[in-house]
Amino acid sequence: MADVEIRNVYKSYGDTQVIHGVSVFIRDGEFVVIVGPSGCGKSTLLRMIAGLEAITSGDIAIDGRVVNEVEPKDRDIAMVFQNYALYPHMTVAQNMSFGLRLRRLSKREVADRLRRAAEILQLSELMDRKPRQLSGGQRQRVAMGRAIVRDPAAFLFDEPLSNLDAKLRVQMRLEIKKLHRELGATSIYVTHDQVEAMTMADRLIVMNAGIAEQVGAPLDIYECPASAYVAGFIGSPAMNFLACEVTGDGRAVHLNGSGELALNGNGATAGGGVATAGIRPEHIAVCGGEDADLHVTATMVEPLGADTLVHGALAHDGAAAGPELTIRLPGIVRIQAGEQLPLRIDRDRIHLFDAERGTRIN
Amino acid sequence: MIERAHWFDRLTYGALIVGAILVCMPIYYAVIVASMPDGSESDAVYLLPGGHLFENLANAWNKEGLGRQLFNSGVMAVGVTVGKIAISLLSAFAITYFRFRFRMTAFWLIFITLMLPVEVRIVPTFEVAANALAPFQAIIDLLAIERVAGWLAGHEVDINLEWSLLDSYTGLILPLIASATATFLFRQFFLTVPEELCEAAKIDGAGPMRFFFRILLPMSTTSMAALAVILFIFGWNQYLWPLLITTEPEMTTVVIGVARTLPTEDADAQWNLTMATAILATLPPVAVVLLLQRWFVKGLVDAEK
Repeated sequence: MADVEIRNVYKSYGDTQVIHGVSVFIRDGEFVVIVGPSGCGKSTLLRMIAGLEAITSGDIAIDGRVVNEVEPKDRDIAMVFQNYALYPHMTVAQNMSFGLRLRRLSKREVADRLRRAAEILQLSELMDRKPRQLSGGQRQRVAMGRAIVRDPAAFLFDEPLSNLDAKLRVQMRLEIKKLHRELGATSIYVTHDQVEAMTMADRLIVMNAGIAEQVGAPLDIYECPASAYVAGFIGSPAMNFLACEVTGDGRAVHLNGSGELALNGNGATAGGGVATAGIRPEHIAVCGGEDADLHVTATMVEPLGADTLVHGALAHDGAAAGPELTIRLPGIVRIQAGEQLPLRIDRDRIHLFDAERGTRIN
Repeated sequence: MIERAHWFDRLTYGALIVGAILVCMPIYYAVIVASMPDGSESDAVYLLPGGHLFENLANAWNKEGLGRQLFNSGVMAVGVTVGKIAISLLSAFAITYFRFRFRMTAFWLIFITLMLPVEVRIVPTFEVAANALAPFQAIIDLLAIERVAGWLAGHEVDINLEWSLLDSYTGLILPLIASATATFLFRQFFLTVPEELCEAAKIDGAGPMRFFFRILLPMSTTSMAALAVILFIFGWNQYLWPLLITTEPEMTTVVIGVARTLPTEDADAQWNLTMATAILATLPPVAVVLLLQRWFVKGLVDAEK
């Protein structure tokens, strides 16, 4: 068990810089998820913590010890890979104990740890099988078993569930979370799947193009994204962005073709000028004609049962011409494509972002 | 591809049968000739066995030196096989997993040797085999070390390095041991091994050599077995090199032994004995193929990743 500190870490490959200064402190026992689109540097960051990539500048410390020059095997970490990376010619037991045997642990100790890990992961029946005789979920469990037996200071997960089918992914997600609660080990988990990120993390690190855009608890990030990028990345369907004009006192905005919308209690820090308004699909409701802030012409309706997604284009003077908008309506709502809908926006939940830099301004 | 057409079946079977006959005919004829009694017409064509096969085989076997020749061939073939596999595994490991200066140069140097089989480089190879220390002698001569040593010692010094590989197993095996083909085969195989495996081993605490021996080697067994079959036959069938490098009868290989039973101008042709010897010489490679054939096919198809 240990904390992990990343201090101003940079990474370059030749002239190309891919990580532009990331600093995060990960507390002992915390489950931190690094999320971002492919190519944002999240895996590189994790591999630097593991010691599989050199650190160009900055420090990484595990349990207070700077490990920049320490070999992966001496960092007291365990890693679970996306494709599991099981040794194909070894049995499950051999796979899990390989690292322990290299460390010259006593036979008894190895057997003890194996048995405990096998019980936790329900692998006891499979210990003599080869990886190719296992299903995807079982292989995933073996890969985790290999990490658990090491009893490491920190677990590193590199998109461990992306090779599994959807149902198994949900199941394994819960299992990993449960496991974390049992073991209480510091865990760093990389994923591009925002559902995994939201459900598993104690804290989220949202990465974009080599920097950590925002670090915080999942719901805090959801409710108060620090930038238009984070706002658009977290949440599904994605947040709607509309150009808007902020009034001089910063207390209200004019959306594209709407009247004045008072920003109750979350006015802009600076008044006047153009900004981007972010509105989550679930913060828009269909209303009576006279209360409407905006009108939308539905172009596509996706009934999901629990809720209904309506895609539409903002209507100007009865013609659908404006930017696209997605609306999430609770329950089953019968709407036909082509229908015009009067909409009301939840004024408490309008996010304002700087039109150029994308940073939050309310 | 599943082809149901009847005529297509017949065509493929026809082609197979013709091919099989073409391949088997010489072997069949060797057996026929080997079963002929002594003193049969040498230019007659026989189609049916003559009933003296085992007698001739026994004669061939009892002929002086055949056992020794078979043993020599065995040592040479096994040595070449083991040596080639060991060297090419290591060199493939080096060029696949390590980043060092002139890595690509090393790679291309190995590649170029593909174009230089033993037959092409036979004269320089022989010279080196005749005195394996000749290159060092050349360096000594070039640097005039003899004169320096003589000046230091105060009298004339003569340095002569000599280490002949002629008429030795080392000489038979060593010059044939480097193999670009096998290196490439293993390199190709190593490239299909996922990189994460190497990283997982690093985190598990395995150094490069441990990763090589504990993980890469066991994973390559099928390709090694497939290669072993090919290389054993290659080593067994060597003719020119053993012919050059061995002069003593107890160092010759069986292939040369077979060649020596061929009729010369002043001796009677004993084709039945020649063929019997040839059959005996063929048996060990056949045994190796039969023994390793399952691995051989598996290694070539390589369904297991």
